[in-house]
Amino acid sequence: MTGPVLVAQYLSRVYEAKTGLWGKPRPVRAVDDISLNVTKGETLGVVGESGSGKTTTGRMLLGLEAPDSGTVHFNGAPLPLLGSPAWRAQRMRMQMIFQDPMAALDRRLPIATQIAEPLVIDLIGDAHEQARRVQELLESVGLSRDLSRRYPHEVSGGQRQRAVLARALATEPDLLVCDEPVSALDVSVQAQVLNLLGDLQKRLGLTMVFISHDLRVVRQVSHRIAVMYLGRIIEEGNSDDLFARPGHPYTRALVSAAPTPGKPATDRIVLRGDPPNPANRPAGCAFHPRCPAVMDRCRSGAPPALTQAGPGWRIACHLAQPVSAKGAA
Amino acid sequence: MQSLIAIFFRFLRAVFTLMFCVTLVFVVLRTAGDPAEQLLPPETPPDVIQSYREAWGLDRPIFLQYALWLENVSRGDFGTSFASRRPVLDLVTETMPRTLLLGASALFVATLLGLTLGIAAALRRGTFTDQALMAGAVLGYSMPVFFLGILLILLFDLQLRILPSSSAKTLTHLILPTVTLALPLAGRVARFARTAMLEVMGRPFIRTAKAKGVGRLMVILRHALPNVAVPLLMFFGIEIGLVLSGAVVTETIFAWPGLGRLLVDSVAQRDLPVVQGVILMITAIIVLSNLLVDLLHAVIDPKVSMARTLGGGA
Amino acid sequence: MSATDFRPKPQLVTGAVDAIPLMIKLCLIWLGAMMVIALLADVISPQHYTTQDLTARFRPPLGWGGDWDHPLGTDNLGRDMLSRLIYALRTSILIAIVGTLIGAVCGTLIGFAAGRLRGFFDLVAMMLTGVQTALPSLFIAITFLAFVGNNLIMFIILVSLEGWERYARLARGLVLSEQNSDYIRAVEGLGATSGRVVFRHLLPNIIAALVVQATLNFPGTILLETSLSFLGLGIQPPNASLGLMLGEGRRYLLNAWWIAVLPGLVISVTTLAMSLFGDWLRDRLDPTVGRQ
Repeated sequence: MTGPVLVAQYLSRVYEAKTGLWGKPRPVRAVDDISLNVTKGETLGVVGESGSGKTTTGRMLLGLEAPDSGTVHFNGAPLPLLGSPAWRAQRMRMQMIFQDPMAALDRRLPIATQIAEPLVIDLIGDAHEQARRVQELLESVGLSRDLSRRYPHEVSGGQRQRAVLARALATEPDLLVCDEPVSALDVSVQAQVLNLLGDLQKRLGLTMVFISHDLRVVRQVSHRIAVMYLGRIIEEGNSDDLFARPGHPYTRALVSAAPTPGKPATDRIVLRGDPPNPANRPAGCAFHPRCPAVMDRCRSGAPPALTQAGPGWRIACHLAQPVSAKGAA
Repeated sequence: MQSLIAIFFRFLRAVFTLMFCVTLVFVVLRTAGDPAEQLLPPETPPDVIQSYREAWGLDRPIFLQYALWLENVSRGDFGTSFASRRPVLDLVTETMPRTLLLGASALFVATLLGLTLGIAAALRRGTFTDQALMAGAVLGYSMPVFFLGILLILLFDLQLRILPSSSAKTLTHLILPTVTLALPLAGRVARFARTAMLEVMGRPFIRTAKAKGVGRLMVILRHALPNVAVPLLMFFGIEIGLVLSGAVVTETIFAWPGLGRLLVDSVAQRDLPVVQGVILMITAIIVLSNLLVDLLHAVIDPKVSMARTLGGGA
Repeated sequence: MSATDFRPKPQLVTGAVDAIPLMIKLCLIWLGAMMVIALLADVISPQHYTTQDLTARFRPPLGWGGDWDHPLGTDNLGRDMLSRLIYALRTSILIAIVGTLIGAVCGTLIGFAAGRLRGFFDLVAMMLTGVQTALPSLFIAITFLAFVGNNLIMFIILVSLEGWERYARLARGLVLSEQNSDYIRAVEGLGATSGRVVFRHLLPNIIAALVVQATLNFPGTILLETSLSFLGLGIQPPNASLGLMLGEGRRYLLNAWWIAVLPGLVISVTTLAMSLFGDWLRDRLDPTVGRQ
């Protein structure tokens, strides 16, 4: 059995937020002390509202952004310095899929040229081999050959995202980070692209990190799911377990809002209060102002730590603490 | 408050530009060779050159020389012309008023002519008159100043013999240089005024005024023109430099004894102290008039001026 | 609704010659002819531009009493005006083209570098564009020519100063607006070098605007070169430049107007044609460029 492809330890990212023209810059913790690992061939889903730090996490996992503290190991080695030749060489092993495929493609180049670009950058094969590889890739993402000469604005949204996917897969990467890859697409197209992602993963043995605000979408493709809230992971576990027995009140609310097919929608938990704002983090457990099960100890002191709640299952909540204590013992 | 910040930034930029140009002249002077040899007449004996070298502190470290240079320049001490053996400052202050007179009269003529034609074209938008006027405007600023000047000399001095074309004895001597300098500028003003006018005329308050039955001339004078004034002011800020470089050529053609002619003559005679003095003086005029325009703009229209200043571009 | 709304919009399609107004066609024909004459100067010129014939000084052009030996007359040294015009045209056009190219390339690169590197380099570059805007290139050129002396390379570099700051601003603005777009991030994520990002992805976005800018700048470059040569600070005799011919002919206005007027006409018509063409191109390709 292979070990983890991607290991992230104690990642933090702090932005300086300026308040006004002359205001003093204030540190904003976008990502706060996150640890993750992803094993080969596995899909880790990362769920969270906007401002939860999930996109920043994804960019740090890929090495597109340097963490302020913490480390990321990829295939056993730490990520090279951002922008260095070694870093550039590593790009072909890890790729990113963006939310809006229209924005992710150069408007002025035909699709085939853009799919071939990673091959050109990494000097893989001669022009002839590259052309053949592009045809292969087009086929594997379900695009017909006659689209290859088209420009991005001449094809549909779903086709564009397939082209982005083909470009990301061109160098046969080990790791694919998808940041909201379907949220800009029509619902009918979403399912097709999700299925394609699932197929490709099985076929190519890809390791994936799938980032989305939509738990239903994440569930469709993920083996494991990490739930983020204000820069921290508040629950992480097996996809099925998480849906069956969500431990954290926030996860419970998310699950209740995303009914599983076949099961009747149980009482939906509606969250009160303001959506999270990283610039203004509440004291204690960051979720406490909106938590339906809030206790006194949640309002102050250190936020609850992420602790073991079962095999491969971690929760950061005072309510879950006794369970974890038993589980750990 | 906003306009104060805008004024501050404009001031800062003016100071920077001025400092940059002074430094540039210093650097060019030093890289070109030994300033003592450059700035003294070619026939100066070596021991005299050596004594000047010591007097000017050329044997001292370069940053001290730079400080000394800044001090001299700020006192208006640009050295002595070795063509006329007179202080450069005297030569410059003597010729500058004539250049300013020429430039100001050209600006006046160009504004009057350009505004009239530009507004006329805007009011007849799309007609033959509009197209002809705009073609004329393009011709005006495409034609080199020196060619225009020569054509005017040929026509009015040599053929018709009604206007003098050389030196600056009477006010009639001012006419041909002024027209030469003004015509290309008028072309630009006309184009600019037309665009600005069309933009203003499309705004709702003009349409309201028209609908209320205000006479056409009144609409233009009372409502449209004041709104064209601000962009036009900014436009002149940009054009000042071009007027002065046009003046260099114009003065040379018409033997008008201003800064430009002094500059060209000094370059030809390699009278470098004078060249340096004139360049610095012209820079100062340009920077100061730009600053003036900016300050006026900051006072009239603080918000826009602020955005332009802090927004990056120039 | 007026009837004009139903007219088909004119579009710029390669080969759609009918869409080009007559005036612009004439401009293009003139510019093309000037280019051909400049290129073929050695072949078509009836005489060498330095050939003197002191027995045939100040011959007028055809129509003013001249003959076919010298269709455009001769100058004060009896040199054939037509031949001199052809060679002068070649000098002036070559310098203007090389100068425009250097200015466009350097300005664009500086703008790209400023936008990509930011920080100190950006600050210095933008301050320099500010200085260039405030100080006309004529004065900068005169300063250098006076202190450093004149040679052809120096002269071309100085001529190329005209308008470099406009390319720099254009390029920098584009980088800043596109830098954080997903497609640039995606390409960087593919491991592309900065050079690849700039030249493969950013440059094509701006190339049309740059061409328009270069076209609009070209007349200014010609005028700078001819002005300097006219003042005797540029191209030196016995070489011929349009500006220099005009400057030399100025002394003989009373007896031989053609020595000054003919090169002046060539300069004027060329810059006029280029200006008109540039305006038209700007309105066609990119209506937002060049508006203040």
